Amino acid sequence: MHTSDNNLDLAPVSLDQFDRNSGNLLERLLFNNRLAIIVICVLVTIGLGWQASQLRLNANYEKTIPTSHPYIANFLEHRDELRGLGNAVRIAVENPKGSLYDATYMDTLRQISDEVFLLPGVDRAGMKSLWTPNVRWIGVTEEGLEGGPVIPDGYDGSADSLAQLEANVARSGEIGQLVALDGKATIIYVPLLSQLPDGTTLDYEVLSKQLEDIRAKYEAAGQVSIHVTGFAKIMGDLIHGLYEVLTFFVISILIVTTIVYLYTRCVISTKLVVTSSLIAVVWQLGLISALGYNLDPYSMLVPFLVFAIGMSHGAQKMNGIMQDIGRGAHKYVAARYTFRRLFMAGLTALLADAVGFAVLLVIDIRVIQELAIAASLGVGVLIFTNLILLPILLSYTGVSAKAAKRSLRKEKSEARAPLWNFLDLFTRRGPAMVAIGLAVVIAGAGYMGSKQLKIGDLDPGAPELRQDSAYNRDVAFMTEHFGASSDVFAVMVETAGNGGCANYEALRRVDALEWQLRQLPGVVSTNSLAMLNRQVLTGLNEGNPKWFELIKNQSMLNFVTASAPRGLYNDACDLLTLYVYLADHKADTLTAVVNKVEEFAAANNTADIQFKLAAGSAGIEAATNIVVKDAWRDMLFMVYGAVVLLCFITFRSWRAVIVAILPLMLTSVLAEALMVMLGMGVKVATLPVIALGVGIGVDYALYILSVTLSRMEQGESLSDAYQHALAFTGKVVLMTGLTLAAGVSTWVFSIIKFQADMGVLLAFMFLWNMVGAMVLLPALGHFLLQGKVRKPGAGTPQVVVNNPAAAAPVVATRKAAAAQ
Amino acid sequence: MVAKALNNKRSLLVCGLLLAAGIAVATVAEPPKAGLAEADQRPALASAQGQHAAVLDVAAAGKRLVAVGERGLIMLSDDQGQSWKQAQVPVSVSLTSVSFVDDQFGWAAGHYGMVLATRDGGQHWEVQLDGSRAARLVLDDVRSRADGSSDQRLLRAVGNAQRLVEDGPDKPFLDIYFSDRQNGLVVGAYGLIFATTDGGISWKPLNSQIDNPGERHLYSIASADHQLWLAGEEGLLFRADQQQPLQFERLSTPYDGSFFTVSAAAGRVVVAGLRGNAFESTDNGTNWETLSVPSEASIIASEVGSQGELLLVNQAGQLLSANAGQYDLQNLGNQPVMAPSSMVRLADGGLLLGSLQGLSRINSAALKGAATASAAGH
Repeated sequence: MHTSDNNLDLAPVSLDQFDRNSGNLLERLLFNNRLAIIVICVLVTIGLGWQASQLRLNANYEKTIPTSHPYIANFLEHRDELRGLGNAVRIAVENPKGSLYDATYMDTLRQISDEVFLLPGVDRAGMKSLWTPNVRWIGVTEEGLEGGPVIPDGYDGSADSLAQLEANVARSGEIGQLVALDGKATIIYVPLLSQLPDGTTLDYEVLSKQLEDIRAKYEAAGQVSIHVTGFAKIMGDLIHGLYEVLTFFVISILIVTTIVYLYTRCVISTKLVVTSSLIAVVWQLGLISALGYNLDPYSMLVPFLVFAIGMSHGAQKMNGIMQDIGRGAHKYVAARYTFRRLFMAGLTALLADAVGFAVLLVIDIRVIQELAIAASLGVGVLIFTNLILLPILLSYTGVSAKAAKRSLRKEKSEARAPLWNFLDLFTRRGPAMVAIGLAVVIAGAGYMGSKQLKIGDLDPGAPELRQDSAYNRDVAFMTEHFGASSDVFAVMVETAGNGGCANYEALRRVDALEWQLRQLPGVVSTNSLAMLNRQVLTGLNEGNPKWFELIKNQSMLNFVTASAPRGLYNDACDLLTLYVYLADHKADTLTAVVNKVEEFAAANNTADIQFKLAAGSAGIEAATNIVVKDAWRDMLFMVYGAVVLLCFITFRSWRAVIVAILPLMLTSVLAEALMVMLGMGVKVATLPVIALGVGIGVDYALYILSVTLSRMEQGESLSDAYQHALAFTGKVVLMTGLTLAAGVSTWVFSIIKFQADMGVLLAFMFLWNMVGAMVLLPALGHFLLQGKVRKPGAGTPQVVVNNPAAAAPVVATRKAAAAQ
Repeated sequence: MVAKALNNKRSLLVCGLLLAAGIAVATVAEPPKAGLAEADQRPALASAQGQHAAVLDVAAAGKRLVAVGERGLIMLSDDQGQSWKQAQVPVSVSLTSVSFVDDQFGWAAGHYGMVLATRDGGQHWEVQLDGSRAARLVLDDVRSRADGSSDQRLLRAVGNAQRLVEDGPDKPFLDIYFSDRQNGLVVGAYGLIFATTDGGISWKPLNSQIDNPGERHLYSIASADHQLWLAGEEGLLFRADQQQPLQFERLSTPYDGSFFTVSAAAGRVVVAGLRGNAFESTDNGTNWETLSVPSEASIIASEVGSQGELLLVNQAGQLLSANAGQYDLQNLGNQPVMAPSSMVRLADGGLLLGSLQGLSRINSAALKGAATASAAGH
């Protein structure tokens, strides 16, 4: 971590004066074989580029499930038996102008139904619509039951046949299922095969496209409006979103490039920095492809970060080279000097970032682990592309002479910049107290706000997508017109022993639990084999509702079970599923259900009958919430632990550690308050944000504090030291904050909601950490560091330089000072 | 108690098996835990969602309204159905019927052969009869009749009654009616019929005294002009006159499907049921006129008003009405209530409907065409 100052005292020389055998082994190895290095990098880029082109987009969020949680283990154990949770798409066809008993509407519905029927991947036997023969009406007669398809024989669209259809629908029991409560829409229920007949797996992207084509085609005719929901549609929309995010990457590149160009004003070198950062992205993508990972909505965000971090490091390299060239050094010499000065420091900073990301590995959610690996790899790759390849490339191209001159000139005037003067105020007692007092007030308010922070997703509909997305509007339509809840919590009931799933002892327990659950405020309705028994008993008694009971008659229960749909129990009849339909998937709702079931299970489980949590979208979310809640705390401890350790190793002073950490903690508290303000809960997607925000956020403090401390060790006052630190690193800190925030800010426009959430939070943390470092750091320094910095003793290094930003200007200014 | 005994037996059996398998019982046997009591021994759960639970019958107790339904749910309203509070009920079985003689004394009947009684206007309920006891009463009754007899019919009845006891309490009562604080009648599935003359302390089975050899379900009781009417499956209809109380005479009807409801008032008797079949008699059940009903949905509840006006509700949730002397019923065109079960008049002439979806009120304006207040039939 410690680099001796003398290393950096390098006189600008021309090429013929330069000793090619100076510098360490690595430098000589690299710079005396520049062409070979470039060729190797080109070859690696081609190889990994080819690998990267093999990357597949994958929106499957099953990886977001915490697989080791016992609830999820139960779910995975029974997954294939939970048919009622099967994969299906529901297509609601609405007649916006009237009722469904309309000849034109029915004709359109038939065309849509026929077209959907032919789509590959549709389980045609299970598909249901008014036009499929499996949708029937049943009536009770004196002799028993009669029935038929709801579409009457000889249907011709006449008023008579429509009236007959309406009567049949009323007797079909499909109102609220296939037919909207208000009679204005019907559903085409489309169960999907997981495997196509040719053995390939169903491609959600293709299916989603086909459904969109059907929607567009029939909505264009103006007769109907169409609403589609289902897992496959979410997948399709997410993949569509991923493509869109790819275009955001281009925008991010443009923004970040612009910022770097404004900083350097040198086209050649800006191009080189962009190129090397892009090469890093290509390598990173190639590597994750080689490791067999796909690009998912989480790992997709890594290239943005890698690119932005690469750009800020690259800009620093460029800055160093520019200044050396400005002072008259040959471009080759400038590149080597810069490499010599900055390599170790840059390496340290990047490794620190990588360690910060690696902390995420301990969270037992696969998508976060893959994100951690991808991000760590990406940062690791930057060591090669931006710390090695970039200086080598710059040694060939150099920088524009005008920009080089400009950088020197600007630097001299920078020490007097008004912003820096303003920030210097905070090293004094009054303003420092104001700043700290303000920070305490903000922190207090933020803390009060953050106490409202909820776990889990808070908005209705599919949480992956925005609330106003087309998909979630369709979900809202389904909820409103069909009373269908999209939040299903499934309890699995294992029934061993005699009678298995039809056993009265099992069913009466399910029945009792169902009734208990229905007393909870968030529970809309429930369904189970016990409920079916009540309904069928009513049906068997000519529809008389007085028979609505689970009767203690085993042969009747067996009879009903035999004809029950399989979703309520499995083939072996040793597993019952109790479906709980919820009003929302807020954490409170889920927790209430989980607690009630756990309490019931503890009191009523027997050797033969075991209630097990949890399946269904809401059940999985409940388990995820539990894991996320624990991980959120662990995450904070570990990230801060890592950062504290890093700071302590760097500064060897607990006072400096406090000065560096407190602003970060303020940002963390405010980020939580911001989440509350934006209605965002703690979820899988916000976990990595905290690690990235804190891990990268500490860089600012490292930049500024290391220079300040080294100056103070040399006997300068806090104010002088801080002024110097700003002059040396202020612009770099500003640029880093802006490039990072700009890099992630485009995510805000993603249709994938959690990506947008991550973008907002990260941008906030990057920027606020920057402000915190520039304002609070001197203020805290006033109370903690003033007069406390020990003078360098024997054996300790004179200057602590551990990052590129600090190192470059330190040298530059000393040169400038010597020249005066 | 039965359930507990069964559990004990089972755990004994388990212990025996474990011992036979040579496993140390002490380490394997679970500590005894309360477990889940059977529905007929488990107090009804406090329900926040009672108004949306399945309601199977509604009745008036003085000015108070009482609704009964699934899982021992009994709800009381003192503001004509605007707000409801739940009563304390010692069982969790579905209650199918409720009857009050005044604002204090009432009875409810339901599944598991359950009869409950209240003496405080419905706030507290106690069990008066359960299915196991009811079955034993039937067995004792037929045994005493068959004692020493060689009548094949009586011997068969003893066999049937023995099976009834063995089946356990799996049969529901479907309607209950009390004429005063002492005299009551409860009917149910498979021809179950019991009467009490001491306010429900003792119950006497009438099965063997009623002409229902097929043991068909008895669905509905009505009373008017000192007569009692019973209706049930297969076109069953009985009448008992004041002169010979509980001597039910079987009447012939023009229909052999199920009657779900019978109502009587103002010299008019109406029976109705499956597939919209409805008939009216104005001569004590001797002659029947077919009512013309504009729907094939089964009729589930009926009411004859004090002026002889008629109101029916069918399973499609439609309200059908006819004035006295009319045989064509009109659909009142109300917003259909899903799966209705029962109805009762409100003080303002409106209607409270019970259904599998809960309670709903229909205001009097929506009922124009149907005449005003009178007692609802079952």
